[in-house]
Amino acid sequence: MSRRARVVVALSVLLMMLSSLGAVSAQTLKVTAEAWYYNKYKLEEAAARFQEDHPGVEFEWSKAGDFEVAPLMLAWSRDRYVADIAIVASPSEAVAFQARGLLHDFEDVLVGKYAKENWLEGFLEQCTMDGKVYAIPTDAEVMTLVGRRDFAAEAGLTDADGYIIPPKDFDELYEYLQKLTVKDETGRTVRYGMTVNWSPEYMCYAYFSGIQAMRGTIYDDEGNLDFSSPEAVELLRFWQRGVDEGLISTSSLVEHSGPRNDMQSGLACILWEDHARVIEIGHVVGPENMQIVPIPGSEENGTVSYTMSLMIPTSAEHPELAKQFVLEQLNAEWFAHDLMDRWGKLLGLKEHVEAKMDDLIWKTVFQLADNSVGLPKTVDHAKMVDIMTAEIHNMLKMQQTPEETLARIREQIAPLNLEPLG
Amino acid sequence: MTRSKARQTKKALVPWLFLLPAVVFLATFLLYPLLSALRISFSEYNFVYSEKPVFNGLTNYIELFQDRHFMISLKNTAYYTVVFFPLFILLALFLALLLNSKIRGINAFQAAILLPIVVPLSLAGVMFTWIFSQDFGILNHILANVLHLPHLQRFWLGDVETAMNALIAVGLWKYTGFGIILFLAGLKAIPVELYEAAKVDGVNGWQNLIYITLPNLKGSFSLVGIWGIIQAIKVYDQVVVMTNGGPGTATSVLYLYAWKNAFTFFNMGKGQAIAFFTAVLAIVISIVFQVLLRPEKG
Repeated sequence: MSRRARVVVALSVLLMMLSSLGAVSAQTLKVTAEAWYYNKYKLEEAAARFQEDHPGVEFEWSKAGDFEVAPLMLAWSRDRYVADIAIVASPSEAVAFQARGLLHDFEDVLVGKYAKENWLEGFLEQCTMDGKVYAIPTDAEVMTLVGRRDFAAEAGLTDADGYIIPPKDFDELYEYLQKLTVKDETGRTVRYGMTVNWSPEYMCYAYFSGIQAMRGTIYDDEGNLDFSSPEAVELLRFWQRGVDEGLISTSSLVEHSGPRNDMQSGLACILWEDHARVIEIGHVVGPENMQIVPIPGSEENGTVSYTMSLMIPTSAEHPELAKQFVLEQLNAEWFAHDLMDRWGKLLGLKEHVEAKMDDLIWKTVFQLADNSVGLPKTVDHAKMVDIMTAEIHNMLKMQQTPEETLARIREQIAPLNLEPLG
Repeated sequence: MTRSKARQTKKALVPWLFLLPAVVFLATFLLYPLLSALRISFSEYNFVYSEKPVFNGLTNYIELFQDRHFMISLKNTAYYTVVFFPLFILLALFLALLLNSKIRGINAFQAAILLPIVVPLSLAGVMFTWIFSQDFGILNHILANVLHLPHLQRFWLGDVETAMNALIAVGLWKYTGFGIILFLAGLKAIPVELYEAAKVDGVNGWQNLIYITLPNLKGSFSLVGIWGIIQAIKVYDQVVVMTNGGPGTATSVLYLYAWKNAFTFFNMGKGQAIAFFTAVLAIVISIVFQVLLRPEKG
């Protein structure tokens, strides 16, 4: 063998050894999530803690735009490895993934501390299809009212301890709004009694939380999503009248952060959105000024909750390791409490909330969450939301009556596939 | 004879070889995706629930005209184009004429007018969202507290009557600068001798404009016009950032609806059909405009 040939063989062997060494040690978990998630969640600290327990594991992060699920779907459906863990907006999207058989289930790891009975039922149910859990709830939220105690006190709507007295029904809530709203000498509203998130992302949660609170179900007498009951008309009438009389802000019609801005700037007194805002807004206006106020009827009838989901695609290279990371760190107590304290967001395990039951906010949230329902997972959910948003916005701009609005929604959703999946 | 033929063949091949990389690049990254998208537009294809596209002929295109939301988007796009286009042409022409004259401090004006070109439209959209804000916006603040016209305050982006006009204003802010550049190029190309001869004949400024400047700007009008029409019909960026088609469907436009169908409803077939319909619409209107402004023969 010539000298050159020996050098080539030696180098080849060396390269093979190095590459096999790399293959043994390189366990890189790829995580993809919407960009804002990285700002709110301490993912890197979670990764560092995981690395302490699992030496040799590396992490690679990628950021997706808000509500951008399509690129993931395309990649996964072609069996391309883009992530071991994906965090997407809602379980209805997880449904879409699961419908194509693109997700690993978590059945094998939901044992012991993580057994199904230890999770908040409403949230875990939203991540379940055909009896199997395909996603782990994260960033779970309950729809409710969030109120300014200081403004309510000025309007005489608080009890002896300074807490807002929950309104008994929607008529009383309307009276609250009248008392809380402030107008200038020209009649222009300078402080709204309420702001509601009617952006496409929140529209169906806002609507169905009202229906659930009023009726105790989001379905009509025939088992379809309710767009026909007297309560549905009453809810829309409440909203329309409130807007027409300048008691309810419409900032969310074009900007989904509008209601949050309204509250943080003191432009509105009560927010109809998710419970997490009570903490987030409290950071700006003072936590002592914030309180959760149940939607009238929701203490008995419940409300609507929703959750984002942690999913593991079938194209993942390290699914078992990914499951370990999801449960050990992304559902660890430190992680859950950090999220609750800074952003008011919930994870799915009950123990994290139970540990904070001394706090009135978390006590109320726990009760509401325990009594909440998720929206059904359907093929045409996104189309339904689009139709609802357009029609209810038109109603809020006084272009049609509540009855006409509901009739138009019914007419347009009739051809859609809204049969619950799983 | 054979050698001569080989040389000729080689000579004929050389230009094609130079073109080959560009042709391969365009075919791979432009033509193939375009043809693939065209094929999907004639298919039933929900990429979540369908295994693969199934050819369905013209169904997607025919169904568009039975879709209320599509018709609203078409109407809104038409409104945007009809209002944007003349304002864009007039504003660009007026400012180009102004910038072409000898005014003191013209460079500062030029910089101010051309600056929006370098600002990304998405960023401008965020900026204007705050300017137009009902409660925090500077526009309403100026109207109420500086000009003392509080009755003119509006929820500019949230009112059905004003939302689309606000988007048009942003489009004009962004694109007029480019129109000015095109018109300025045309103005600089007009021979000075024409104006000098006219001056000798005692022609006034207004007659200069009507009989010399405008006729000599026909080429620029054609260019600016086609560009403006295309920008109007393909309006998307500021709509997504500022209103996302709302309130209701008041600012829903064709490309936004195409995007929604493709990436929110996962209905790729219908989304592609809307996109191709919009593209063909822009091409047809541009051709009509081109024909109308064709220079007269002789």
